[in-house]
Amino acid sequence: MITISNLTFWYSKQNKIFEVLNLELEAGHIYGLLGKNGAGKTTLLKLACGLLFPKSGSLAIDGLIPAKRNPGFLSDIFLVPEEISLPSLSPGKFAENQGGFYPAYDPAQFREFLEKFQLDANQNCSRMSHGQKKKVLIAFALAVNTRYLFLDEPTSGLDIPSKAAFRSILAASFSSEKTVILSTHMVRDLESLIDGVIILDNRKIILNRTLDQVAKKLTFVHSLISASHAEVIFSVKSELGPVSISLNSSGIAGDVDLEALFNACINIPDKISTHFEH
Amino acid sequence: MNETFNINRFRLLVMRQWSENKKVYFLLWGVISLSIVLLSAIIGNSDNNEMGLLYTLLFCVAGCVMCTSLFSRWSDPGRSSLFLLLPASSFEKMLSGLFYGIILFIPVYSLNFVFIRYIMTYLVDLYLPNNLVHYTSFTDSRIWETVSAPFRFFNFQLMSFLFAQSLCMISILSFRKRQLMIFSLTVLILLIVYNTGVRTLVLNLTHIPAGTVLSPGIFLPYSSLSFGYIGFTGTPPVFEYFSFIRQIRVINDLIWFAVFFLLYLTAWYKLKERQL
Repeated sequence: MITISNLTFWYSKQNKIFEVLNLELEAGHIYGLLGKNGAGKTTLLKLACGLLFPKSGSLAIDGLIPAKRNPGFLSDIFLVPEEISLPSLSPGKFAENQGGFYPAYDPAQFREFLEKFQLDANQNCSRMSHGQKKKVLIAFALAVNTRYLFLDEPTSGLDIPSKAAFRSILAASFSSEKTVILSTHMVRDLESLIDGVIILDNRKIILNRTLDQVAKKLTFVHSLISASHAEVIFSVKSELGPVSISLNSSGIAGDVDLEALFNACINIPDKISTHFEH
Repeated sequence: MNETFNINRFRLLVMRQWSENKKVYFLLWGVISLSIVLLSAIIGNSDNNEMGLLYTLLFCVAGCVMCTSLFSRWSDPGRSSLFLLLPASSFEKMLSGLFYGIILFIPVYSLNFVFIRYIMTYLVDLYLPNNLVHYTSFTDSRIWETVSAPFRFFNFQLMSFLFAQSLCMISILSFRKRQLMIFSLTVLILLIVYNTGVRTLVLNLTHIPAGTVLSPGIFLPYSSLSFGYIGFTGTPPVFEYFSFIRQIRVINDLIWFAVFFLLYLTAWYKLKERQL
């Protein structure tokens, strides 16, 4: 379990990224971490891994403090950063060098994932494109089978077949004891994977719910309903057409449009949070 | 699980380091070897002091380049997250760097130096028996004397090496830009301060003949491989060595030893506390 209590973080004191942040994330979910540019998505992932240290408050993963970077803790987490730089080695050699540090690393799984991504295990990483390098690291990240996996913009730079391969590999390798946090701007790429959503804005978390909880509270209709409609709380035009969000009075869970939900949370945060608190 | 040191993790780190950096190591070895050949061909072996200085200079420069290749990944944002999050302790990561940077580097560099000098001497004597540059037997040279005498080696070459390497490591870990400039300036400032301190000691603690000019050379306190200072008088100048008493020499060595220890400790702390 990831527990964040009263966490404050800043790069410069005048511009705080998080102020008294509180969050609890349970195992068995794939969380989508959403937020505008500069909202602190990458910073939160780095704090969770121990690459950054909180200025005040605490962050613990299963009771362990990431900032201590103990080997036992590090062998149970993996971060795929947005910017990737791999050594001048083949993916096979890279995985051989790194895999020994992770007790649950499965070389056969790594080779299988490389094949699904249509990558050559013997090609030197220095001759690969950014997207190919990212796929190597994603394949390795999934093959090490850590209980906590953090992916920062995993689909940026991936071509369309690779995005589909990524979704299928992640879904297949996911299990109830694992926790995955995906930070992304491209919610449509990962909509089918995510079952929990965390939205960051204005130095705090404005929404942390499972998609089931969201679907039970809100209804997403892909057409513009008259603004005068009593239950409509937000309307937005997306690339797939207009979407209206209304209160779910039936209690029957439907599909959640993550992009519309994100826009609603950014534009009417108080209304959304009040609605979820009831 | 032992969180500070585990021999298996250390072994994996050492193997990983070799696998990722072997091309750089071989390239460095080639550049050093070529430098030894070129510079010693220019210097010849007419003055063993110069050969000793060449050995030390290349030793320090190569040590710093080695150190840069070992620790640059901590400054590269793309690679440093992979390395920082590798399941091993900061102590093991630093130790694996020092394993290549000190434990392996010193004997490999010294043997390489000895070997190249031996080959050069052999070839020159074989093909140019009447050469103008006089190559003496390597075992007669100062460098052999230095390497084969552990205390002397520690007293000058190793001290210079550890000083340069630990400062280089801290520069890499502390600054993301202009690391070379900061490192060079720091070395220069520290050596000037140290040299000034030694001059002050010489002027106050030793009996210097009137009219003696103290040489301003930065490395001169160690040039005779014991702690003191060189001055010269008269025309033509007559060099004279002003030595400190043994206690001061021992204190000086202890201070330097403590300084290195603190510098390496600072580097380890910076690795441990590094944030991205």
